[in-house]
Amino acid sequence: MSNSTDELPADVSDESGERLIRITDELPQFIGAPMNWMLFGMKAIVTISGFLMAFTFGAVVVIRYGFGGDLFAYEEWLLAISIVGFFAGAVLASERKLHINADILSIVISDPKLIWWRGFAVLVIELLVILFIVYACYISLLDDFSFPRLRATPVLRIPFVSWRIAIMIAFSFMAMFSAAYLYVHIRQGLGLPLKSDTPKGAAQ
Amino acid sequence: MIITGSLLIVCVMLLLGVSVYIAFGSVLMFIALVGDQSISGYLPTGSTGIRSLVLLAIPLFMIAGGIMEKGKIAAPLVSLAQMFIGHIKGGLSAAGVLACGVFGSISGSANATLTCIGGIMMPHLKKANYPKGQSAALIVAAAPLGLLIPPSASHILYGWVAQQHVLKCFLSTVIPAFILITLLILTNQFLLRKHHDIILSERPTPFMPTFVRQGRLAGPALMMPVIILGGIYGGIMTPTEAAGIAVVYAVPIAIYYYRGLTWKTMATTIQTSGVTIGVVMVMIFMVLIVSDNLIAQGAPALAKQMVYSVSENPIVILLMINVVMILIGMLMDDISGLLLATPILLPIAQSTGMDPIHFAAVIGVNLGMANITPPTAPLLYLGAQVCDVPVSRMLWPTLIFITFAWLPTLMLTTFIPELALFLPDLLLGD
Repeated sequence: MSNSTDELPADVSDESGERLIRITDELPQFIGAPMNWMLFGMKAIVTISGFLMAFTFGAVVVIRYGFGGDLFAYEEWLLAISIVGFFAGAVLASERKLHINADILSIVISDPKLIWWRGFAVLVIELLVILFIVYACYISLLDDFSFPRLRATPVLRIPFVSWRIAIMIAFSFMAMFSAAYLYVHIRQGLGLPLKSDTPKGAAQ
Repeated sequence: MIITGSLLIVCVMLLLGVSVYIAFGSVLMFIALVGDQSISGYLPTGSTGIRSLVLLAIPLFMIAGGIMEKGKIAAPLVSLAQMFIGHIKGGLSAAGVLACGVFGSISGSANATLTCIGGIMMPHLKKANYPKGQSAALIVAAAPLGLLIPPSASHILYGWVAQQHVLKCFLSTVIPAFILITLLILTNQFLLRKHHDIILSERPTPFMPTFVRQGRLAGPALMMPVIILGGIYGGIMTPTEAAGIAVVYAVPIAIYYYRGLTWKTMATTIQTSGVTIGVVMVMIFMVLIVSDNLIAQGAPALAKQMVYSVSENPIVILLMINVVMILIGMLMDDISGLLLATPILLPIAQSTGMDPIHFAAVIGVNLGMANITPPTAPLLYLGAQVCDVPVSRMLWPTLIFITFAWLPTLMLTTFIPELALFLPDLLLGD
């Protein structure tokens, strides 16, 4: 099982923090730039939600034993934020191609043509499945909104749809990255140059 | 038809190289096409499933593991273990196994254990002329101790899915972990018998001052399992709160004591852990929906029927369960494997009279072993990178460690229930 980056330039930065070519850099500017802003947002969400998760639970213990109190209904907002954080992390994993896969065929196949077709099949399946999940989320949300009152958490009344919408958005972003990888894969298959192949791209 | 088709699709997708969560997504697509259940239930099932305070312990332990990994917390632990047995032939590699056990009890993650201990131990082992492939394989084989020694993410998940006492699940693999440590060290000693060129380190003299100095250095790291496990078993904290405290404790000692992190790199570390958490949680989200659908289709009853059609002998049934779990573990990661296997295999195991806590130990050892069993052995490939040794050189010794350490541990855990149940019964009662 691996978290493979295959042949695509997906890393955000190397160990020294130097910026490397990213998948968004391979796309036309008008698509790549908004995706980069979105990635910035996802990174912020992941970092903030990670800090919040850890320090809230630390605070819960300190408040309980230090002050004999209780952090009121913290689980309601914390779980909502955590779910958003989880899926923001999943989007970043899609951008970096870090989702776990069983990489058995790559050991067996050595023919470059076959390797390309296998990669193509994998990317097409990934895109189709994620789009299907986005559709399933959409149908589910329509179902949620069809009720006169939205279901919500008992104390703070945070609507369930808030994180469900976030999940749908996250899957949509994941679909965008799958499509981006498919686009680059097809370009490679057709022998078209990538930005990372050009001297400017390589210099980055 | 839906159950068979689903299993077939998962296998084909995983063999093709599709991401695990996508493989499960394709099963959902298949069920939507041929089944009669509405797809509008997918999102609520998955989101309600992951909206759990218990489950929140997993990402928190991952963050804690990430901070410890980058915070250079493992180095003094290795030095301490090395001080005691580094001067004996095979002692340095045994110190690596022990360090994996101690670090596993802090991080609860096999990956973090392998990255930390492998990265620190391998240069020492190479310098002392220990065989590279065998040493790397030993560290890889010892890394899943992080899954067996509490706290363990997979046991939190098992307790949650099977509705069992998480603390009892934690304790169920402690004795199997010690058996594994012993067998790994013994197997390694046996393999080392023909290597006469190993350079032994000298025992520090005077011993006590060096021990006090090393102990002081390792002290804050060693306090971590005391705080986490003491807090949990003392009834002071829940596992999730303990995981939060682990992060809060790890941050200052990583920054100010061990100086492995700065506040700036801390944010990057949390972000990196966040990506890993995202990978795991999206898998849990998908597997929960698939598992729910398969249960609705009667998969547990069908699996039970299939198993009982082969034999009604409990020993044969337990062996079959183990074989199925090994196959599952070879195809997917431990978390997905556990989520998929538990609801289907637990009723079968219980029908043979097996206690669910005993099953927690069996599934824990099984999935730990699966992590290092080729062809899809995530820890083996990670180990090759961390230890800078080709997989081909690690393959044979890994198979030896599986055969003579992991398999006997699995068999003992499966067929001697007391090994799993003694500590939970002793400390937490029936």
